[in-house]
Amino acid sequence: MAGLQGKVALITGSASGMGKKTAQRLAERGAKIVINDIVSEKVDQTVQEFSAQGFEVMGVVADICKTSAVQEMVKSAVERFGSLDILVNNAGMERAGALRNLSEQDWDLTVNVNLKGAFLCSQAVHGHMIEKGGGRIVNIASRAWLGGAGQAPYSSAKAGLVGLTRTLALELGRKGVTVNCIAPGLIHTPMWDELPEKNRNGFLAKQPMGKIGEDEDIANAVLFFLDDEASFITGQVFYVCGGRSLFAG
Amino acid sequence: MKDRTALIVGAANDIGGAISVKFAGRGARLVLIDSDQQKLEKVFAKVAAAGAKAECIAVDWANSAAVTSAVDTIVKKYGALDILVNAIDQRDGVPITEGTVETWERSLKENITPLVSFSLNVIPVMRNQKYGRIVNIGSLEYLGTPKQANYSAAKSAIFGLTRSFALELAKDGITVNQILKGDVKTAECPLSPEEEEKGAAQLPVQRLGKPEDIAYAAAYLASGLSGYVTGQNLIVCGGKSIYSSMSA
Repeated sequence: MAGLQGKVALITGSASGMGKKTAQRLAERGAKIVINDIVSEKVDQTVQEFSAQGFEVMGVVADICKTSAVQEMVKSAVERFGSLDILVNNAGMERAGALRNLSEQDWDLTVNVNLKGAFLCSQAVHGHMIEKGGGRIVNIASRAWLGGAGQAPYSSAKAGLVGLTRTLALELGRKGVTVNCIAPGLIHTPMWDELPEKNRNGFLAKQPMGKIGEDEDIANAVLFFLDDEASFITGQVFYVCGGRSLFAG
Repeated sequence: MKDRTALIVGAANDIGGAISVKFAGRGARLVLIDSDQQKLEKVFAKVAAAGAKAECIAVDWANSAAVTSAVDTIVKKYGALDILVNAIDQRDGVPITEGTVETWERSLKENITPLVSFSLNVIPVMRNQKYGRIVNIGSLEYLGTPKQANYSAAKSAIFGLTRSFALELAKDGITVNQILKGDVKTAECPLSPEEEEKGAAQLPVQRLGKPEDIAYAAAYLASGLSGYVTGQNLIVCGGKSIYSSMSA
């Protein structure tokens, strides 16, 4: 894969987990990085780590569910780096539970962060991409968009993200902006390590490969879609899930 | 994929050729295979000129014994076989009125039999080494195309085959994925400038695909970077698939 020298990338929710790993890999390829999260300590920490590695980086603490905060974030990124070529809509969260136990707040928060945030960020950046003759948007959905018991808000939000991906691909294709979606399956997180072994084994038993994926697997897939050579790939939902998407249950 | 041994089956066609060039650039050790010796040698010359570690073997892939013998020879020589790309493609569809049992059998025989034959010979080798990447090049036309029923059906076979192989081999370190090409301009499907313009206008990205677009995707799925990706269909089509319900 070619480098990303000179490209400016905004990765939402990038102060930890797969967002941070993705940001790291983009920076290693020469991209200028905008780190975003809602927790300022985590943003500061990540910016420090990236600066120490000699990367060009800025941090923005912003709630992506708020139009004004998103616009302000994009404005400051463009002021600092001159443009915006890449947007990775990675920020996500989940409030899970059986249908009868879920509140309106659970629904709103989950749908806002996973779906509305991606919409607002895409809306705020796409003009800058078009101005430069092209760009890349990658949305991090989830295999759970196919449906998951106890995951009504999350699954719905991620399904919405698939629809957003395909719609924006149609709208922005002629402008040189590709829009794709990665649907991760089971991925190693700090929460995973805290699960009792019995539960972990239960999850692994349903994995065709018998293993869990790592942040690195997602970062690699994001990089694949960001390359200049990926210009004929748009509107796709790409599962990085160890084959879990192949069967029901 | 540096120093990985890659078999490119169907290397003589435009897409197989572009994949060969791309993989050569990434440092793979290449064995180019096709049934058309003359065309194969042309591609080989191009790859060799770029300084790649490569050889080419013409194989009559309709003959399963010839396929077995070719794979045996390669494995003996290199001691490993890490990547198999099936890029065979014969777009030989006919309208229903011209369809016969023979046209149907021909499509399967030309598009699927060699793919199955190479896969079945290569899989035991990959299983032994607990590593493998199989990339099948299919077509978005598997979704159904007028006057292409026999070809479309043959390409549909790759769908089920890829997913079944992927599940069966998931615990062996072998991934099996399919790339579905959209409207790609190739020597095998020549277009007039008017046809090209019309075709491009119908795609969200406003251009037809190039063999290199497919080669780029194949390089990712054949690399060590895609180890958690299996049984998937990666559609490389400039957004055309968005109009279909079966593309997510």
